[in-house]
Order: sequence, then C-alpha cells, then structure tokens
Amino acid sequence: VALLAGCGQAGSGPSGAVANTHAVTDSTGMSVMVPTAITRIADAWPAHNEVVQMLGSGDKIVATVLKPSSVPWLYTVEPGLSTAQTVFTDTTVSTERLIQTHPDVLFTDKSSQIAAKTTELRIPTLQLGFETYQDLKKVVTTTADVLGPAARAQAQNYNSYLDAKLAAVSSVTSKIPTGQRPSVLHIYSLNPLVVDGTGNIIDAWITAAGGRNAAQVSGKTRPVSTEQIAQWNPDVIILASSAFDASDTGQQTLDKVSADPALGQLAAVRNHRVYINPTGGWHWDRYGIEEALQIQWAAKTLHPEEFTGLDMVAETKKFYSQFLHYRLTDDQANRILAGQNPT
Amino acid sequence: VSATVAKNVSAVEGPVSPPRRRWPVLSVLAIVLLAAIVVSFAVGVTTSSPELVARVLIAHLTGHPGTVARADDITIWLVRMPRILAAVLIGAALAAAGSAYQALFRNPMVSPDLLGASGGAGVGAALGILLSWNTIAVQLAAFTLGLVAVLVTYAVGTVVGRGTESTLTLVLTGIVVASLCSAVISLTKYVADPDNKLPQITFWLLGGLDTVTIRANLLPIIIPIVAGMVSLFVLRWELNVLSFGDEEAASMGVNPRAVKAFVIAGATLMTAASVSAAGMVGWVGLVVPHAARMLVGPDARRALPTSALLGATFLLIVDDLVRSVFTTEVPLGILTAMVGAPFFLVMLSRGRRAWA
Repeated sequence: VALLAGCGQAGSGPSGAVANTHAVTDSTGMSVMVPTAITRIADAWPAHNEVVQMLGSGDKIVATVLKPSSVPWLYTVEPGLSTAQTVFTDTTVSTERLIQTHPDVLFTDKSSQIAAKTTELRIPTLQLGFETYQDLKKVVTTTADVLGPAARAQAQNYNSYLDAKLAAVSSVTSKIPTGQRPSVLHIYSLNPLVVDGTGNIIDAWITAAGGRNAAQVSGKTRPVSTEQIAQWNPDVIILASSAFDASDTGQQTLDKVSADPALGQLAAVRNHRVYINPTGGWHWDRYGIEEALQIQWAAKTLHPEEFTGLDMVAETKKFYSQFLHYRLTDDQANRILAGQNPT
Repeated sequence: VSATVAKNVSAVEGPVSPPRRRWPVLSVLAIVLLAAIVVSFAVGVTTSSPELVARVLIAHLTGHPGTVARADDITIWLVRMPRILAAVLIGAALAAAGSAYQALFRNPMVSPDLLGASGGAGVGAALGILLSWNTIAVQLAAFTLGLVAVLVTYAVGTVVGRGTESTLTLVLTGIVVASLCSAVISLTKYVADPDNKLPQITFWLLGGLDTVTIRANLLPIIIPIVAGMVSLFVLRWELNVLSFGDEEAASMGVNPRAVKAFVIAGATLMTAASVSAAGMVGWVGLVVPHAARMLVGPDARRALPTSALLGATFLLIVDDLVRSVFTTEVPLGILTAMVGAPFFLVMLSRGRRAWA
C-alpha cells in the first residue's frame, strides 16, 4: 500500500494535480482535495452537467454520462459538450476511457461504488445530491468552490435568483386558501403508470406553486394503478416528458390520455387541465437548476389569474441568457415550454 | 462411468499411476492462463506496448517509479491490474465451486448458487446499498448473507429431510431459499431511490469489475477463496467416491455427511466471496465445469483444477472484451451469459458423453 501511494506522488502528470490544491466538502460530508486550476471536468451525474455549464465551465467537460439524444437542449446551449466523451452509464464507468480524458475533478451523484474506484485512480471525486431547494443551492455553491472565483459569483447570482423567485411565487400562493388549491398529479410514466409522491422536489414545487400533491404515496416514481388515480381524481395532471411513448410528441401523448377509457374520465382530463412539463437543458420538474423556472411555470399554470404579469417566454429567455450563456429565440423558448426538442 | 471411477479409486488406493492426460492438459491450461494475463495487461481502450507494460510493472514491483506518463501508469497499474487479479481469482473460484457442486450433486445443471449463496449475497448487497453503507460494508453484508442463506438451506434441508439431508431435499430447499432471496431483492429494488440507489443495485445484480479496488474489494476475498479452494482440493478424491452413492462411499470408509458438509462449506465460501466483490456474474460456474469435463473427463481430481484454470482464463478474456470492445462499459454478467450460453449449446450438441 505504501508502495502504491509513493508512486502516485512521484508521477507528476499532465494535470499537475499535486501542485496547488484546496479542500472542498461534498454532499456526503467528505473533504476532497481538488486542484485550484480546473481545466478538465468529468461529470457522472446527468443533471449536474448543466450546473457546470451555468458556472461557466461547460466547455471544460471532457467526460460525461450524457448523450446528445438524452439532453439535446444542453448540447444546443453548449456545442462544446459534443467533444466530451460519454464514459459513464447509469450504472457503470469505463475507467480506462475516463483516465484517458485526464480529468482534474469528477462530479458524481451519491454513488460510493464509483467514487471508491475513481478515488483509487487519484481523480478528486465529489459526490453531490439534493432533495430540497436549500441543498440545491448548496450543490451549486460546492461546485463553484471547485471551479473558482468567477464561478462563485455566478453561483451567488443563481442562488439569489432562486430565493427571489421562490419568495415571489410563495408570497402570492401562500394567500390561496386550501380549498382553492388544485390537487396536482405529476405523472412520470404512462405505461406502466408511475407517479411522483410526497417528500421530494416534485412535491416541493407543487406546494410552492399553490397546489396540493394528489398522489397520496411517499417517494418519487412510484408505480400506481389506474383505479388509485381515479380515486385521487386530480384537478390537474402534469405529464413529464418521460411519459411520452417512444417517439410521440407531447400533443400525441395528450391525445392518448384523452382517448384513454380510464384516464379520460378524470376531472383533469375532461376539464382540459392536462399539461406537458417543460424540458430544457434538464427536465424542469426534476433535480436541476431549471427548478427556478419550474416553480414560476407551475404557479402560472395552476393559477393563471394570479400571475397574469408573468411572461414565461421572456422569463425563460432571460434565464438562459443570464445563467446558461445562450440567447434563445422566441421559437426556441416556446419549444422548451412545450417540452419539445430543438429543431 | 462407474468403471472409470473404480479405476481411479483403485489408482489411489494402489500404487499411484497418474492418468496420462492429466499433466499435459493442466500445464497447457496454465500456460494459456499466463499468456492471457500478460496479454490482458496490454489490451484495453488503447493497446499498450509490451515494453510500456514491463516498465510500469517493474517500476511498481521494485519501488522505483520510472519515467512513465501518469495516465499510462494509472491505466496499467490501477485500472487493469486489479481487474486482471479479480477476473482470475473470481473466475477460478466460481468454476471450481461449480465443478465441485456438479460432482457432489451428480447433476450437470447445477451451478455454485444452487443452495442460495448468490441470492443471499444479493440480499446483503441490495440492503447495504439501500441503507447507504460504504463499499466495504456492502461487500461484507453480501458475503455474510451469502453464507447465512446456505446455512439456512442446509439446516432446513436436514430438518425437512428428517436428518438424512438427502440431496433432493437439499436442492429443493435451495431453490426455495433462492426464490425467497430474489423476492427480497425485488422488494429492495421496489423501494429503492430510482435516481441513485436503484442503478447501483441493478449494476450489482448484473456483475462487473469496473469499480473493483484492491483494498476494498480484493484483499477481503482472498482468504475465503483460498480456504475454499484448498478444502475442495483436499476432498477431491472423496468427491469421486461419493459419486457411487452414499452407501457405497460409506462402505469405502468415506463419511458422506462430513464430505458433503465440507464441500458445501468450501464452495460457499468461494461463491459468496466472489459474488460479494463482483456482483452476480452468471454462467461461469455452470459452463466452465462442462468444458473441463470434456477435456479431462469426470474425475474430480482432474476436473477441479482444470475448471479453476479454465474459469480464470474465461472470465479474464470476457472482461478484456468488456474493457476494450465497447465504448461504454457493459455489465460483465451480461457478456458472460452471451458468450457462455451459445458455448453451452455447442458443448451439448457435441459432447453428450462428457457427462454420462
């Protein structure tokens, strides 16, 4: 063991990891020594690639878990991402390919298995994750601590934006009496039927936006029966883009839901209150920085009369230019809001 | 068959005249394994020259790091070396355990997870991952529950069989315990967080060596695997005698109960240790013993070492494919099945006499 450690010190490599390092604490509470100058980034957590992009280092991602087909908008926003190699899958890592990309740092979700190996390979590895807005902000700050001073300023901007929008939305929705809060069912998959229950970020934005989660189950992506949904009889249904079958568009999916003999009977469907969740650089509804847009979109969708002044196209364009360094056209913003891929 | 075994038995009891093909086959297989190990150090996403491999290995073995580029050094010493060691160790263990079980249960369809070792280990690992334990604790839980599952099978099998622990009751109890384990695994998958826990459990169930580390994964399994291997080798003659049936074995001075218990213990140690480190890598323990019998016949004294050598080589080559052919890492268990299953069919069509 001493032999292994000794050799690592001596091998001063192209990344110069030994030269200047500082400690950053990750979401598991582990203190990780990372190089001060980061030029090459590996990211094994799908949603986190967009955090890196926001903090100005999207073009430094050299190894990723993403593919252009999985998040086409992020590859549109940061074309440099297409030079990154896909070395991770949901469950595995091609360690040799990862080594060849010479990463200075690796961000991963809480996966002790991958982290144990990459740490042995002397890649500084941060395990990150969040279930609440508070921890989302912490993930952004931690990432910025790794990426440097410019990133830190941007992280503060984002965290203030998120706080401000949460406060603005809540100041309106908190005054809505319980009886007027629609029950909202967030459907993750139609076939099989999978919905998001309580105790997660989906539940958090439904509540913040002035709704009540119709799904009386705990946890995210829970399989349920049609009968169960009929009993909940939600006022509003929001379909995640993962609910689209194969190559269906959002509209085709809406048509299928209306035509479905069981789902078609629900109040939400008969009252035409079924919506497609927007999807941008990451799914707005799940564990990414675009949560900040999601709360606004959801609030306006649930209570249009309360948010007449909110222009989601303008807000989306502003967010993309300020935080993702990309100028969306109106058409692009509309496509994101409709859950459509770029043309 | 009984003629063959009788001959072998008399060969042990009388003046030893080793079967003629034994040493040539084993030597050839050992040389093939060595060659495979050497080649495995060179193949990967990029091919490393033999000279580079030699420089890295010599640098580490002598403690004088040379002027090797850091990426090459890490690739050969920290990526490939642990995987090669793991593949050899685990391939040999699973194949030897399978070979011993097929002899003990006199059934060619038997694999080392027959009595629930893999299922129990799967439950341990899935629970460990669900509870966010670290890698070492997950592996320990897998190993422990693998042993517990087989103990339960053995104990229940003995009780149900009214103290006779007949092979049939044991096998049936094993099937029940394994099914229970797989139900518990499904339950943990059902309640696991789909974003970070479920992928880890899924990965574990498919097996893989991509995240194997020396300290956390390999060092802990060396002792149980060596202990299991030694116990099987010590008992290889008794295994042959048992193939006559319990009564005949007893009349030849072999205690069938004790031999069975020791063989099961040895095979279980190896299987649980292998599965705890690499996940559920299927087919090795089923296919390789067949291939070994085709080469050297059913005599456990030859089939056991042949299986171990073949198993090590087989898993090493399959893992080399995983490392070098695919752009993203494919779980090892998928590939052992895809390579092993057709191979098994070819063997079935060719050599029905391999197991008479």
